[in-house]
Amino acid sequence: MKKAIARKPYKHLQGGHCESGSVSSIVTNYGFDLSEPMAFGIASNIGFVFLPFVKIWGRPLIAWRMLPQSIVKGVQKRLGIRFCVKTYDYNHEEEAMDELDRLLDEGRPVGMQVSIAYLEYFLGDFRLPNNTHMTIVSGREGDEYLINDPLWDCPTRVRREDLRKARFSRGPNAPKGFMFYPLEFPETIDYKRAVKKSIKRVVFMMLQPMFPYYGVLGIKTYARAIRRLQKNPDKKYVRGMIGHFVLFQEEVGTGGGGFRYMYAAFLREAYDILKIPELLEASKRFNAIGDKWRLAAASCGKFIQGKTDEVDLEKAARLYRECGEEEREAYLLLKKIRWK
Amino acid sequence: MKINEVPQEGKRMLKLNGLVHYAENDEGKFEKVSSNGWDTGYYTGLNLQVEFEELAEGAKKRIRSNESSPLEYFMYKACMDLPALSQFTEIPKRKVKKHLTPGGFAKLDDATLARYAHVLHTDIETIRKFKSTLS
Repeated sequence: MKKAIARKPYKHLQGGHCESGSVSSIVTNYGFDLSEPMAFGIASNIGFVFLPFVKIWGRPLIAWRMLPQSIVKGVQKRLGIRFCVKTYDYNHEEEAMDELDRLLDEGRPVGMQVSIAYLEYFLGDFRLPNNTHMTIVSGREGDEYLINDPLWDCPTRVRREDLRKARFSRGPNAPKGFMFYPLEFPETIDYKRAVKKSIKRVVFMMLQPMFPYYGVLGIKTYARAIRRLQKNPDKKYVRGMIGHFVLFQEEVGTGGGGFRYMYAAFLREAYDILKIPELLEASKRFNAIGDKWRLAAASCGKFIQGKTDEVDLEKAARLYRECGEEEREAYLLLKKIRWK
Repeated sequence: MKINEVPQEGKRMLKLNGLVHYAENDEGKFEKVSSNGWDTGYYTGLNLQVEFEELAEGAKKRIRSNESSPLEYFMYKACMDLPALSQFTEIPKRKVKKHLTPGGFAKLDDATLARYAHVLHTDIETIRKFKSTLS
């Protein structure tokens, strides 16, 4: 194992998704090259879950990925990188902030989970209550912290009081001061073993035949739910519902087409290392699947924008169903790989 | 997605210049490409914002006619509904429901109200005086 030493000054890296972007950015800055798709794929973070009985603003929970914090855990487990991970309870907020100051003064950037509602640079006055954003704090100047948010193209600043509130927001998926930074990196990495394990996990989870709200079965349930909306005469309700699904699919960090592209990038990178032809083929398929998710969302575009009240949800449902079928084919292809 | 298919439609809810997408280049490798917005996605966010603004306006009317408590207005301003408010403040739903009525609101003590104020991005004074600022 070799010690992780932070690069100075912090090199800002932009990513497509908050958690994989943070992990990749912080690990790269501590001196170990890990691309964002690699971090995302190796932690088997791709998925699909549709839970109509769990409500957000009275609408179903839907996500195209696994739970928050799972990339931090997955990268540790699969690649053998040792992280220092800390959480605190609500009585130790000051202690958590002092610990952060100590680490920054030592020259260690820290990744952490925050609530976006308290961060002014995020959405301004539109304060969405969401606890699961991951970001990186790379330094401090007086009362302000330097934030290298992986979604942003440049570093930003946040006041100490705001950051304290954001780290100790309550509610679902509360961050509880969750922070992480790498301690040690392994000398060599057996990519074959890591990629094999991560892909097997994804295939096992996505092709599960038991629970109708997860994986390929979940996509079918989702498509059926979309088709059922067609009969609903209340256009405002339907618009809200479809808007909610598309919002969760493409705009916030729960994935959708964007994550399929990222997984395709991971498979391509794995192919470059391992030279297994199925990985290249699967990468191409996942790229096409990402396009299909986008197309399905875009087919409701005019309706969501309010330009028309007519919407062909039958078509959207059919496209979503095809997404499910194509994903099933792709996972079966990955399942057939002979790892030797 | 090919590089030239990355949406560039110019509008985005997040206050940034470009969000990264992964797109395939001519050699079949994936690159980070900056996208400055996608209309369908932008309008979903905007619709949500408009929806909560409408709810907040409705709440204002109800507060004026003394059917509801000022907490309701601030709740919608912070993009929450009753279950969300209950989760984020860790106050039971049953009690939140009570505090959303004028009678329940009048009996609120400062400590509980501070808890609400913390989650709703405001302070105790603003919530208490909110009704008198209306009219």
